[in-house]
Amino acid sequence: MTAFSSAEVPAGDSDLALVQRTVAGDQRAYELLVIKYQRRIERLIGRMVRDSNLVEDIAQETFIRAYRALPQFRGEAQFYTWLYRIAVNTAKKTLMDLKRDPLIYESAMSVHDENDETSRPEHELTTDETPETVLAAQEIAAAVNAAMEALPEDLRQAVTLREIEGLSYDEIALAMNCPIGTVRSRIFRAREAISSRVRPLLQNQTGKRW
Amino acid sequence: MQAPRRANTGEYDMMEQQTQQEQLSALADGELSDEEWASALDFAATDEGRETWRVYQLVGDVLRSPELARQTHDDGAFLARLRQGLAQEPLHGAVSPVATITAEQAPQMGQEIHPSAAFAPKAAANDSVFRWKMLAGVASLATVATLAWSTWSSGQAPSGQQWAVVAPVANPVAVASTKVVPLAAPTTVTAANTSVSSAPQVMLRDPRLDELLAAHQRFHGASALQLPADFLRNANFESPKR
Repeated sequence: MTAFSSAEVPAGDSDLALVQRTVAGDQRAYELLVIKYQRRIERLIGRMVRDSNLVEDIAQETFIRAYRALPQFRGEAQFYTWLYRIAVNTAKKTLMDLKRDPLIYESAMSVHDENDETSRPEHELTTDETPETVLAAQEIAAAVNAAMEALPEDLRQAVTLREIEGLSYDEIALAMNCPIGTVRSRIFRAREAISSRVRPLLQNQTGKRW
Repeated sequence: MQAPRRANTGEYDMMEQQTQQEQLSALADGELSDEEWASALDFAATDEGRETWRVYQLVGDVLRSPELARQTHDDGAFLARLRQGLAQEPLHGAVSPVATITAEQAPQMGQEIHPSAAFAPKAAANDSVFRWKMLAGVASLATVATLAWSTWSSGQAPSGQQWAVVAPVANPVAVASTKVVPLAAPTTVTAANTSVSSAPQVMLRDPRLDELLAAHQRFHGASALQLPADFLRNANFESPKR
């Protein structure tokens, strides 16, 4: 008998598997969830809070609250949807406590789909973005796109089906008519090829505030 | 002999690292096999593993949305601070009054974890609130039941109007000398009567009155009230003048 059979954790749902590991007592699994969602959560909070120094504090509090409540997470919703709610409530509560006026963009809080934090107009900066951080982000995006263009067709197709289409390895294997092990290998090699172009940019930006 | 061995060792390390990176890639996709979890998490706990994981996530985010191509706050410091905060929190899966696993039994990676142990129910922090709510609910139910009983009981008790109707029955002689005549003209029922009871009413009338009316049939004129109009006229006529 294995720790978690595939019947308990649906294929493709790495979040639920990491949550289960965390609840079972392995904090390393939670750190992976934090790294995965730190960018999105800080971006979300940055659209609600005027004080950029407060963003990190609220993000910290969000992840600690989520950790406390993790045993109540049953996987009925996406983990990020659940985490999103905690982040929004934590930000609101912090602002209430500090008696500050939240700078809440209408489009961020009421019109946007709660799972879509990317539909903001591109020219509109979040509260703590600077032209430099925007430029750095554009460089990273350009590097990823260039790396994708340079990939062999089979690697590009595999990583596209996985990352953009969201297919499981089984489905990709069917679509590409190859073994699942080959799918896994192709996706890994594609990621590594793209990462090799991105890592130098990240190292140059280390220590900079976004 | 030394140089090839070192080369082999370096090659082995590189292969090992590639294997671990591939495991992280599979973990990111939720496709990691059970046997690989221990190795993958061990690697993810290292600086290199965390960096690999971070870049994989960044690449995925950027492929889905270029707007997510942004660095976070100082990742190392953020994680170190978060660890300090989490150190103040009770470790999940370690201590629970009703959990089936204890801190010593907390699973190591690669060991078997029973799902029920991972999600054993714990006492909620607001249990006491729920107890008070339950007590309030029971009290409310008791109040409603009492009110319903009192309402039903009062509905069963005879009213004053009903007593008044039944009262004549107490004199059997009078009842025997009278006959019950259904009210011939419902239109003669006054508003006052209808307001008291809408049930079919009976009128007790002396039979000699009927005989009297029959004897004076020729003087009887139909009226809208179905009463002997002549008789009424006579009665009016015979009223004393002032």
